[in-house]
Amino acid sequence: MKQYLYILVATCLLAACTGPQVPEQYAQSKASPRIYPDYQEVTVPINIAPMNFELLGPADEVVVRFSAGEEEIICDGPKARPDIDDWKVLTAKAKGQAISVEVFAKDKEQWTRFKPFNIYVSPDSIDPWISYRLISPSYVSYEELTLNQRSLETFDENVFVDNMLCSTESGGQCVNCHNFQQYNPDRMQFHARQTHGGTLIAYDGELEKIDMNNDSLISAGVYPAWHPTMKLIAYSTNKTMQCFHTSALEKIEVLDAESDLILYDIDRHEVTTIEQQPNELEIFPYWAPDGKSLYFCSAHFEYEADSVDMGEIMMRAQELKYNIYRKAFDPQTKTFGPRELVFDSGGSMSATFPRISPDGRWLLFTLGEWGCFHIWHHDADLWIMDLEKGEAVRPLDEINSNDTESYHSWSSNGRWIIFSSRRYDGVFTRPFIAHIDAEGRGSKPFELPMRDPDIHRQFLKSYNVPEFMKGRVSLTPQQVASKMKEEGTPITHKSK
Amino acid sequence: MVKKFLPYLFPLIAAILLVVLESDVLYALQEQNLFLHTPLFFEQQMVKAGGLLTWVGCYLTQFFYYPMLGAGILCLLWAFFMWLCKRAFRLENLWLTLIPTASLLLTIVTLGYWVYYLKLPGHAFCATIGSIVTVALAWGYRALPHRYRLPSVYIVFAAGLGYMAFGFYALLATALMGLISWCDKKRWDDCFLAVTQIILWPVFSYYYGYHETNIVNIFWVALPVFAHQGERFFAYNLPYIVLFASMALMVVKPTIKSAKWINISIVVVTVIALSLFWNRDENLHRELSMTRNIEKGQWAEVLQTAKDVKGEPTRLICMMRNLALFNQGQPFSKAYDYPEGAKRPAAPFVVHTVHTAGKLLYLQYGIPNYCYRWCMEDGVEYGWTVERLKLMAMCSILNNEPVAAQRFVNLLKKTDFHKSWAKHMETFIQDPRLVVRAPEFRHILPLLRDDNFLTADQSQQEMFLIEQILSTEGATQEQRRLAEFTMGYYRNNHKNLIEQ
Repeated sequence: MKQYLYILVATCLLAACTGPQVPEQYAQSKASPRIYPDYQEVTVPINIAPMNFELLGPADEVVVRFSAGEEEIICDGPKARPDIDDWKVLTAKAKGQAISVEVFAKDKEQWTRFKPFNIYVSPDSIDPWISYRLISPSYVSYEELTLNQRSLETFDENVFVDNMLCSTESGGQCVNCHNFQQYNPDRMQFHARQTHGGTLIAYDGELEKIDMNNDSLISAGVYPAWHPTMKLIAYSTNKTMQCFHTSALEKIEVLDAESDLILYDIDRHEVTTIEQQPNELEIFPYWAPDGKSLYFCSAHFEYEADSVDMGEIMMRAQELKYNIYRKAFDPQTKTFGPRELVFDSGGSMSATFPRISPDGRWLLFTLGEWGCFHIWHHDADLWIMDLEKGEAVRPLDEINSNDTESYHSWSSNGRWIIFSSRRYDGVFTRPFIAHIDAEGRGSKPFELPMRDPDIHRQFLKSYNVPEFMKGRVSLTPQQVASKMKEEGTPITHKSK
Repeated sequence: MVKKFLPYLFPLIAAILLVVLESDVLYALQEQNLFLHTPLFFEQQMVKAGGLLTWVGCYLTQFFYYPMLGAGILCLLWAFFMWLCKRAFRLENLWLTLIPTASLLLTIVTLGYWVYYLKLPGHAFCATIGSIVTVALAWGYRALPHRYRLPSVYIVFAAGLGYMAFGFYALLATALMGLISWCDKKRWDDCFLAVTQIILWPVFSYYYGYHETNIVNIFWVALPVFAHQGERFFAYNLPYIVLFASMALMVVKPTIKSAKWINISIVVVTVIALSLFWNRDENLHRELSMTRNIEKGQWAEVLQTAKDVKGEPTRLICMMRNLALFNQGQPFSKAYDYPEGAKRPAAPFVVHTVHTAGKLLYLQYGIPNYCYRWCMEDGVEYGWTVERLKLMAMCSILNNEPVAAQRFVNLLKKTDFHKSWAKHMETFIQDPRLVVRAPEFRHILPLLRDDNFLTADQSQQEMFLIEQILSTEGATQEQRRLAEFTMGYYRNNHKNLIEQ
């Protein structure tokens, strides 16, 4: 009797060890599977983490087969989550080709095979890490704000700045605008506002807190741009305000009543003015990869009132149309030339966030109908301009959706972009990645793959300012908090 | 024999009082709470020390959906706590346990407007569960044999693992272990060890574990913080202080005999404390009752509650009454039949309507964007709650944002008591034509406006609503008159209203 029991147990164990099987009999459907995230016919980098997805809709059982040549991975359950080591082998096999994905679903005892789709594996690799801010899409409240880093090759994620470590019951802290010099995680800056406010600059192991408030400036530095090689950071300074739409789906508007551009010298703790034109609102600086010119946006706005009037700019917000300009920069003298128009939005649109590809050829920017805070504008799209051919500018239709596309950055090899989009629900931004070929053509973007593919459907925070990094930030939230609690080094302001 | 169990009547009486007097508060507690059956929700609680406690607290708080059920669970937990105290501390007098149990009751019934403002998830049950854990851990220490230095090892693990799961309550348990070792066994080494563990584990966790708690707060995690707009209100910590002190007393003096005069004194002090500190603010209770009735669409009950007000009502009561008059199609002159006023809410801080029932009013007055905005603001500041998700789902449906609405509905489908509501809302997402006929929405639709402008309510909600009504085409003549009537009230009572 006993031996029968052993055999039964052994059989059960063996059966349990057998991996999932693709059904032998099924009905072929012409329909594509409804999956989240939508990874059908996307192009992914060779070193990307497994493209986990889930089948939406009712199914008693689900089997998914990923295959490339003789290699295959079979997953069962509504969430397809290939083992990371198997996935590496599969993507290596499919390099420059495609992984075929077949989804089988069993409903009412009948298996159906949906129309297979491909995941194209580009030989172009992607930077191994990204950083972003996780923020609830709120307006004036900011609890539990973090700056996170995430490995694109695995699902490892960790926090390197957490505002709760500096927040107290008597005052919160907002952290924002993290920025790196040339994708280097050891050369980073970000701002903190309110409690223990200041700008934190990390440079090759040195950590410094700067107090950039100065009576002669509109504000402390806001939107940053590291010079690609020098210890210089360009900032905009902004008198920012928030107001709320009574019925438009955008819900909130963020406006600048005043803004200028400044240059901060890290070694000298010195700020100089770059742009301070009357009736011009300058914002979003960005250096050309050679460091010899600075791109930025600027809107012409003349107050009818005698002075800066927040009420007036709120009423006339739709007149705010930003163009893209650049100024030549002499690294020897650290001086700038006159502004030069790069993209004229024609007074009918507004261009923001100029970002130049590492080879210097492509200018990627966001275009919306008006204003500068396009992350809340549902009409905002990504546009690309060929700087070699000047006039060749077009919307990136192959990447854009019907909803918001906004903050974007180039990978260090210039073959990938990451951008924020609200395309799924119009509320929460998610990071999307797309391939850009040598001719500036984009591929269908894919949402950042997650260990649990359903997380982004539950998560009530937005991904903000996604940036590529060549490695991971070694700072811990506690180290950052300790530094933030110190007094900041004051700056001196040298006007032009 | 009966006498022996007499103290156990206290949790039963407390539960009955809670149901009779505080049903609306209990219901509000679960509306201002959220528990989701998802791994993500669990993970989000566990990123902080004391996460397991808040997770359990959130789970149990949802049972206040049926106030009797929630109060029944509390009653059982309190009875268990009393029994546990007697066993763990080897009490000779069970009546002593009335003091901590009454303190636990007070942690709930003293809250008042903190129902809307406390940031600790599941706070209504955290003190009770935390106290049970504290006593159980202390009992475990006492019950251990004295071999291989097991009690000392236990202190280290109870403090370390306990801190991660239960926050402050594990540190309190460690302190009680130190006290026990000092009082019972005269073991100074364990006493010293307990003190070191109380200090070391939070500091260690700060540097090598959790990154969500400011170092100044690491010893108090899982306790509610009674602070608002930079001001601390320590008086609300009093029940907690009595609770913890009474536990220490039970360790130090377990031999207090069950004498008649002692027991009567305990009961008298308990009754006096409860009657003194129990929050009986009628206006708050009416506001909560009216909020609940508006959610259910029971407008006649809303008006009845407004009529029954004794004394001066708060503005929120008047605003909800006006809304009910709107919806009942009553002539504006009916407003004269109700008490009018602007009594300041009975809270030690300024209570803005947008943080209480104001969000619901924005929705009902056809300004879903502002309802949504304040739901989002409060969700970030005070945490996500069932109420906020429900309102955001309704706003998204009215704004024709089906995917966003589905997200909030999907989350509510992961709750235990709001699934059916979520499924009901899902029908409007799947077939938006149904919205026109739905009792939840049909009275709001005429008030929705196509025109858009940029503005801000500056937390002056009623004035904002009045201006909105006066300029809304879809508003009826009576609605406008009522708005003008309220505007008149504002002009005459400007000074009283300035802060609300």
